[in-house]
Amino acid sequence: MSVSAASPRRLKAQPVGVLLPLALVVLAILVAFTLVPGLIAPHNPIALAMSDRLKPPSLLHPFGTDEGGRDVFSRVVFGARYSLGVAIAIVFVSALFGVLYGALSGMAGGRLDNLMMRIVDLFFGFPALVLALAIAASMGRGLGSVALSLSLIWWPGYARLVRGEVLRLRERPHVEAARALGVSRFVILLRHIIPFVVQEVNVRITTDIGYALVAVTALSFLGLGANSPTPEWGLLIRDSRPYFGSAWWYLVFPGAMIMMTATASSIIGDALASRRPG
Amino acid sequence: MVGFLLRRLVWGLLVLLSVAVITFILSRVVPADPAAFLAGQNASEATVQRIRVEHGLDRPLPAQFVSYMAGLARGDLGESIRTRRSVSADLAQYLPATLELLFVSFVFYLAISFFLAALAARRPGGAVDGVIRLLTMVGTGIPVFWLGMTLQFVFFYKLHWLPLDARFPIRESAPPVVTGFLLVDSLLAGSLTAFFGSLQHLALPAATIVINLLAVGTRLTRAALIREQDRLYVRTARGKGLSPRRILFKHMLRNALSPILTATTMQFGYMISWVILVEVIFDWPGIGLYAYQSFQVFDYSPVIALALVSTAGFVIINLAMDLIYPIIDPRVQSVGA
Repeated sequence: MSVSAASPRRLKAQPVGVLLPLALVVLAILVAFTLVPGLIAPHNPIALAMSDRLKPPSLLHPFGTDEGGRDVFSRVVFGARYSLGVAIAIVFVSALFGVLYGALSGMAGGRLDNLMMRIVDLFFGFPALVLALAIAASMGRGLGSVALSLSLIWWPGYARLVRGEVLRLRERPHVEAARALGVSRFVILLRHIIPFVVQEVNVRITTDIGYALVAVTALSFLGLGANSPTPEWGLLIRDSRPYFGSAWWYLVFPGAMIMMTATASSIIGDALASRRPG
Repeated sequence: MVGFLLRRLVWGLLVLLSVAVITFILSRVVPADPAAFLAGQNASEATVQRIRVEHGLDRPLPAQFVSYMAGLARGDLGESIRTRRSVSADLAQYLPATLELLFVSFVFYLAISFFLAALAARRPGGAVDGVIRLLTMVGTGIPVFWLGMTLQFVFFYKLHWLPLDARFPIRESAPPVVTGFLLVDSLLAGSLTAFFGSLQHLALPAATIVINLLAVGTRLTRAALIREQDRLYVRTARGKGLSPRRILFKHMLRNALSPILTATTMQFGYMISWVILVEVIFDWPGIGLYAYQSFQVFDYSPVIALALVSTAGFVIINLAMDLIYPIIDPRVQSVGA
C-alpha cells in the first residue's frame, strides 16, 4: 500500500448504486400517495367498521385492519400527506431561512459574522424533543406546534452549511472579477454565489426530508402532533401500541413505510452528492 | 490553553442563559395565564391564585424574570403537581436511570462502531464495506420508537428472551440505593442475580439507541481509519512486523477516536431526544419518562426543567470534551493554546 493511494476518492463512501432505482420507485409511490390518495386507497381511511376489528393482512386488507376495523393500508396512503407534508414544509422553511441567514453572515464577515454564528451554535445544543415538548406545552398540541419546533431546530444546519460555502466561493476568481468590476455585494450574492450554493443545499434538503419525517412521526408518536382519527404515520404507531403483542401488522406496516421513505431519501441524497461537480 | 478554556466557559454560561430566557418566555410570556399554566389543567381557582402569588406572577415581567433567574441560581426548578414534590428532588431521583442508560449505550456505540469501521476499512469499496454501509444507513432511517417496539415484539412476545420494560425484575427486590446506578448498586450489594437482572432490562433500550446512532459513528471512524492506514507511523509499525490487531488497537485506535468524540458532542441533542423516546417505550424510569408523564397530565414545570437540565448536560459534555481532547490527542494542545 503506497502513500499516494490515500486519495480523497477512496475516503468518499461509494454511492449505493443498485439501490438508487429502488429508492426512485419508493419516491414515485410516495408522490402518488400524496397527490392522488383517493385513487390508490381501497377503503375510507376514517370510517369505522367495528365488525372488521384487528383483522390480519388479507387480499381485501393488504396491511390488515386497526382497532376500529379501518384498513391500515388506506390509512397509510392518506397519511403520506400529513407526515411527509409536514416534514417537507419543515425542511423548506428551514432551508429558506438558513440559506438567507448563512449567506448574510458569510457576506458580512468579521464581528457580525462571528456573532451570527455563535447564535447558530446555541441552537445546535438544544434537544429537539425537549423543545417540542416545551412548545407543545406552551402553545398547545398539533402538527403546527410540531412544525414550529422542528423548524427552530432545523435551520441552523443550513445556515452553517451556506456560510461555509459563501466563505469558500467569495475567494473564487469569478466573484473577485465581479467585485473588481464594481458589482454590488447584493448582486454578487444573488447572481454569483447563491446559484453555486443551491447545489449543496439541494443535497442537504433531499437527505433531510427523511430525517425530518422520522422526527415528525416521533413527535406524533408521543402525542404532540396530529389527533385521532387523522391517519398520520406516527400517530398510527401510537394507536397500535395497546395491540402490538397480538396485531403485528398494525405496528409493522406504518413503521416500514417511514423507514423506507427515510432510507430512500438518504440514498437519493447520496446519489445527488456524488454527481455534483468539484 | 487557560484562555481557551475560559472562553469556552463563558460560551457555556451564555448557552445556559439563553435557554433560561427561552424557558422563561415559554412558561411566563406565551401562555395566556401563566399561573394556570403552572398549576396544571385541573387546578382549583385557589391553587392558581396561590401559585400566582407565590411565583409573583402578578408582578411586571422584568421583575418576574429577575426572581425566575434567582430561583434557577438556587436550583429552584418549580414544583410538580403530579408528584407534589419539588422538581429538583424528582430529577435527582430519576437522573441516575437516564445516565446509566446513556452511559451503557454510549460505550457500546463506541465499541460497535469501531468494530464495524475496522471491518469496513480493511477493503474500502469492497463487499463488506458496502453491506456495513447499507446496514448503518437503514439503521438511521428506522424511527427509534418503532425500532424499540419491534425489538420488544421480537425479543419479548415472540422469543421470550428479554423482559418487556422497566429497569429491574418485578419479583426480585432491588439492591439498596447507593449510587442510583443499578449495575453498580447490584455489585456493591454483592448480588450477581441483581446485576444480570438489570443488565437484561438494559439490553433492549440500549440496543435501540445504539442501532440508531451507529451510522454516524461507523462512517466517521471508517474514514479516520482509512486515513490513518497510510500514515508513516502505521507503515513503520507494519514494517516492524507487528500484528495487524496490535497496530489497530495500540496505534490507530486513539487517532481514530477523536472524530467520533467530536461527532458525539454534536449529536448530544439527538441522543437526549432518543433517550426520552426510549424511556417512554420501555417504561424506563429516567428523567425523560418523568417529564413525559408530567406533560401528559398537563404538569409542565418538569418539562421546562428538563429543557434546562439537558442543555446543562450539553454544556458540560462540551467542556469535558475540551478537557479530554488534549489527553486523547496531545496534538490538539497546540491548537487550543
